[in-house]
Amino acid sequence: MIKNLILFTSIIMCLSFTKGTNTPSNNGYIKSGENLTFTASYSMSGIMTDIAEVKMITSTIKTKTRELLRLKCTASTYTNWDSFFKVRDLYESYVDPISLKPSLYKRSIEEGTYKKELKYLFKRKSGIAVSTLNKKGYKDYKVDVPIDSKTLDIVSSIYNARILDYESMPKGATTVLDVIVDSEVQTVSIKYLGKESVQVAKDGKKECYKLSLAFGGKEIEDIKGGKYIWITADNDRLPALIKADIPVGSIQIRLSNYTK
Amino acid sequence: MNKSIIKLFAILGIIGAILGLIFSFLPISNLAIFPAAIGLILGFIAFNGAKKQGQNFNFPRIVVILALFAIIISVGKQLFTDNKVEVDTEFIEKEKQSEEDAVKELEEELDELEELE
Repeated sequence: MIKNLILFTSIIMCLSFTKGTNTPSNNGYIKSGENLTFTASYSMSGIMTDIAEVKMITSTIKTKTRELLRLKCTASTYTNWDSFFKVRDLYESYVDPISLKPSLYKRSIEEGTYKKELKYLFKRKSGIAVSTLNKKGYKDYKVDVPIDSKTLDIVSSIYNARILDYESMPKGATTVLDVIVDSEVQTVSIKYLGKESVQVAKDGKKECYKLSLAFGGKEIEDIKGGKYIWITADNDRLPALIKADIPVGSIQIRLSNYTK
Repeated sequence: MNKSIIKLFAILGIIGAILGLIFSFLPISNLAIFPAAIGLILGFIAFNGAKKQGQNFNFPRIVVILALFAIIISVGKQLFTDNKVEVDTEFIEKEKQSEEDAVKELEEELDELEELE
């Protein structure tokens, strides 16, 4: 179940970036110093079992010549799960603070006894992302993945999804995305379903944009087991709730606390 | 209610109660409520049936007690256990090291990366 949760979290992280008119060109919402805390839970018949804490933190990084935004996501199981299945996952993306376009993506996962490290260096001048994999049986295994100027990684894609112009989208508008996942560029699409009020951390209910996700062009909204995300319709653009129905129950990732 | 049905209810009840007890000691303890509640209901029916017919009702009584025990543990854990993430210094150190390595790598590969301005 935790592996499913982690997989779903990763898939949810595949949100974003448009090829059409909705392409975000300027980031007016995501700033350094943002700290979001989520609770990932499994729900069955309305009974929630909290499994892990997910954090999304932004900070400024300075190299010799430029300033970047570090987007850090961590997933850690709660102490009562640690002795059964301990998860310590770290996802990072180093992006331009204005365009949120990534230069470097790093993923380091520890799930039970399974360990894996993956890195993409976006060499956009050469049109490739150099993927470096380290896991059992693979040491510094490099693959060149062809990319274009809009290709994102899974972490930067979440942040890019937050800055899309939903106000100008009609209900049902679909945005197609290019995201590099497991050393392959994959298509992800987001369908805007309108506005709904949902609980946002301890702030009570707020109006949110409801989005449905599809992977590889398959419309998941129409099949059993929809996957949805709600983003607050305000200047914070907080991902308030992520929900995926699975054959038995559902998985939810809900915002529990935030500072900006 | 005949004797074999009472026995069947009691057996199904004990299965529910034991499952509830096992669940109640696992991290998914709040899901223990489902098998434990079934165990409690079946155990109670078996207990009443056995009592009315003057049969030995010790076994159904054990089923009810075990199911109640599972429910109490499950509810107690929900009420008195907070979600906490262990302070993992190794993981914190890994995050810092990863950031330092990233800065070095970005500086080394600067020429190959797109101009961001």
